[in-house]
Amino acid sequence: MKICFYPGCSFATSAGYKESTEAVCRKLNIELNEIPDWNCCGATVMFGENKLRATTLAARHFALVQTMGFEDLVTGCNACYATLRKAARLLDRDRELFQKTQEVLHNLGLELDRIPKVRHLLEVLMEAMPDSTSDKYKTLSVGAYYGCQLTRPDQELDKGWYPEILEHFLARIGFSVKEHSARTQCCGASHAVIYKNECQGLSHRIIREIANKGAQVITTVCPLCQFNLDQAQTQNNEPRLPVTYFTQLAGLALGLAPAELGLNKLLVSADKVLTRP
Amino acid sequence: MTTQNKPKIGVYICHCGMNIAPKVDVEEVARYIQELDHVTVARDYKFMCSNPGQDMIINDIKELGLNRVVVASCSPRMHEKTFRNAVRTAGLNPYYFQMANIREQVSWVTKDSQEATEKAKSMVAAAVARVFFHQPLDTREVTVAKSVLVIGGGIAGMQAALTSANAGYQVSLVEREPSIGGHMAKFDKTFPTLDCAACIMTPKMVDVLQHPGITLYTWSEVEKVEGFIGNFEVTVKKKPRYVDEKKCTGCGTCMQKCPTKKILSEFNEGLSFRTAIYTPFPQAVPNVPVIDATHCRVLGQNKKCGVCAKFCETKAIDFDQKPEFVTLKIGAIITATGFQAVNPTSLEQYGYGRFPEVYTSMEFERLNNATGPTSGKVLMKNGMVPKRVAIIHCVGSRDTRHKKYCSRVCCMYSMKFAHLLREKTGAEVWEFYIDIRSPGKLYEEFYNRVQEEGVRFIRGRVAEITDMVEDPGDEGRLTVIAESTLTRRTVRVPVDMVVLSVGLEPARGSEDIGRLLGLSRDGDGWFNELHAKLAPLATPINGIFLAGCCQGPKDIPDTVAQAMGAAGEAIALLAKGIVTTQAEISRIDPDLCSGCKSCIESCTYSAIRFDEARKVAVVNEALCMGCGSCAAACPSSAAGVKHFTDKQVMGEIEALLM
Repeated sequence: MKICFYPGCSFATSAGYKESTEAVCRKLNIELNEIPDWNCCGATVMFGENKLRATTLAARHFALVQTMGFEDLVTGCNACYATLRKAARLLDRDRELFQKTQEVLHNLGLELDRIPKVRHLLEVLMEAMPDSTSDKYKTLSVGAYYGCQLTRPDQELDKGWYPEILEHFLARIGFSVKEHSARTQCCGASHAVIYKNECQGLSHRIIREIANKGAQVITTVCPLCQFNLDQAQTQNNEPRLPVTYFTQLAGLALGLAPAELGLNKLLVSADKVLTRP
Repeated sequence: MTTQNKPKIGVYICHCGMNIAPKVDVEEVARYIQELDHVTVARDYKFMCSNPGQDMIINDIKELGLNRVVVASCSPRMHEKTFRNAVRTAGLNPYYFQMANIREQVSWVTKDSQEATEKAKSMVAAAVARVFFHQPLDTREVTVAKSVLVIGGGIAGMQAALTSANAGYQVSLVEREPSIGGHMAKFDKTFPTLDCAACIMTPKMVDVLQHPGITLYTWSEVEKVEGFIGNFEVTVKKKPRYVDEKKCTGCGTCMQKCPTKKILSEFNEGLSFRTAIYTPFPQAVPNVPVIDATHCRVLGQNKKCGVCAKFCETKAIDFDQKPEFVTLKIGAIITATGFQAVNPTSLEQYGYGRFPEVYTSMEFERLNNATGPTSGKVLMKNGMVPKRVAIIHCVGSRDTRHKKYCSRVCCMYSMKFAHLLREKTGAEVWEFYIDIRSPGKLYEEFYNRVQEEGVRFIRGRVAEITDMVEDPGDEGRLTVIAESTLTRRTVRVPVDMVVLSVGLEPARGSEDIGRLLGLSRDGDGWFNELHAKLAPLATPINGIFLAGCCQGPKDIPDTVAQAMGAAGEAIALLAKGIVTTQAEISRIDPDLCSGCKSCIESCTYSAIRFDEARKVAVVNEALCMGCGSCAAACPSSAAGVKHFTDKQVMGEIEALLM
């Protein structure tokens, strides 16, 4: 399988997301075709600034996807996912905005005729991962954390408040899942960089809830969520739960080595829980 | 056309108070119309529908010898009957009348005054051109069956049945559940007087059962409705009960002995179990159990059991029972199919189905009821009495993502819950509301009373209910998070129990009933009344009336009043003994008919039969509704609808296009 991949700006530098995604895709024969010369998606801030600029930042990738001959665009970041989908929706509904965006892109030497479908890497792996045949991780209980942008407000992927797709995924690939109530609570998002102290509490309540419900590991689907939840625990003693990417757990399920999956990059070490007998 | 039949048309332009006149220059329209051919007189008047307005038409017919009349005013749905009667009073055939709608179709919708005036002129001219071709038509009188069908055995249907039967008419009451009683039978107390629902309800149920004028069909559904006002032919399907109603004494031994005991009780909202042979509740009417064929070991699982049959002393169990079909001759139909409570599962933020201590209001009604699963003690699933309870208003109501409308009863029943909780448990009660809606006799007083009883009211829609622990006091509880819009603060209230005051939506299956009866439904699924203000109980289908919540959310007092009203409408119809059939019906010209039968296939009322001797299609005038399907289907222009002839319609169109 070949997919057109949009990494977004936090993918490469995050704690093992890149390593694990690439390793898992290699193992599953998924060819990741990175969009050449990609730019920032505009993140959540751009729509508040200028609608045309916001859609153009996103639509530039849509045009590039078209040049590459793909129908879909895949990203592993919730903010990219939400932003690109929002732009796609606006362009689809607003004829005038679509034409203006086309003009701007035309001046950049790019043509946009159709809007690709924006998909999350989670969807791709949902389809590609084989069912687990091993009991190795059956006793490892995972708390799935979705973050606030994956299903809200656009609920196409799953229910808005209480999604379950990640739990289904984890159970299918051989992990034990702990239900909890923090799955779509906000982690502080990009505010965690600027308002660090204020946002610590937001991350802590998520970690506390997942720990209270008995999980040993947290798994995330977004670089910013992972970073916020992981770093919040560096100044805090209790509880300490490793915060993994879902791709890292997928890699473990496929029998890949922890080092190959960048698990050594986590701030709260996962060694103990993963290497238990 | 002979001289005495030469059309002499009178045209009347109505001001409709301020509705038409300020926008349309009615005097100018009258002046313009006066100049048209065959128009004898054209006048304008403030209210044509008033007595003086009608007298003006009658006098002109008599004095000026008018033989055609046009009134330009509101919609024919509003006043066509009024003016036809005026024309008839003056001695003219009422079909020598045509109406032009210059209110809904002109003054209310056209912005520019000059444009509106021009539009009105052309619409009135079209009516004049049409009425020129009108022909006298006759209506016929048909006798009426002196019987009423009531669909639905909740408080609305029961009351409608009792009122109709008390007036001496034969009533058939059809209820799909094993017992009558509906939702009200599930309630403990009723607001604002706190009457015990069972105390006022069960005697009525017995009255219905024992009334010589009422035939009760429970565990039955309306299968087919044919015919027309006064002469409906209704087929009722009696679902197999597997218990012979005549033999059963209601002793209850079968229910005690039935080994299949773990079926969730529908009547107790899934909070307790019932057996496979069961009555929904001890006071069920009739007190005859049914066998739930899905769960029964004999009927559903092909196993040997038959314990109920073995213990039944009167040999009432009959596993071979088949559905029975009963055909009824009915004069009037009262639809009382009611509502169902909104299922709040899709409002995920409230955690219904996820958190055991989140209840719907119907569940709470049962929890609170002396005949409920806890014998009326308000207990949590762990058997403890809650110390603090939150009641969330408008769950699924007043929300553009769910139901846009206010469900009308939730504020009041929420406050009833609060009162009962305070009284029974002493628990702290927090009501989260958007607005308190208490418009009813003694309702506002009840609101004041529960406030004095110490119930806390927070004005703000609840954002979330969570089991996340953020404070030691949250442990083992649910936290309600809301914005208190009066204090402009976010509040977090840890509670032991949450009641979701869910809204009302049309009962399951009301779409099918609507299709059977030909009733239209509004955007939310409630049945449409004929007129929101002046005909709230009638429907566009003559002889079919509405009672209770099937028309929209209502409380018990309004439901009972409406049920009595609907019965009154039915009685008024039946008491007269005759109905006049409409004259605008299909006519098939036997000389032109080729016998292709296209019309027979197109007719939804089965009103056309084929005359084998003459090889032509023939219309049954009593059944024809004048819909025109046959006219459209007929390839040889043999079928046509009276009062909608080609000449009349083309004449109207031509004048419009002039």
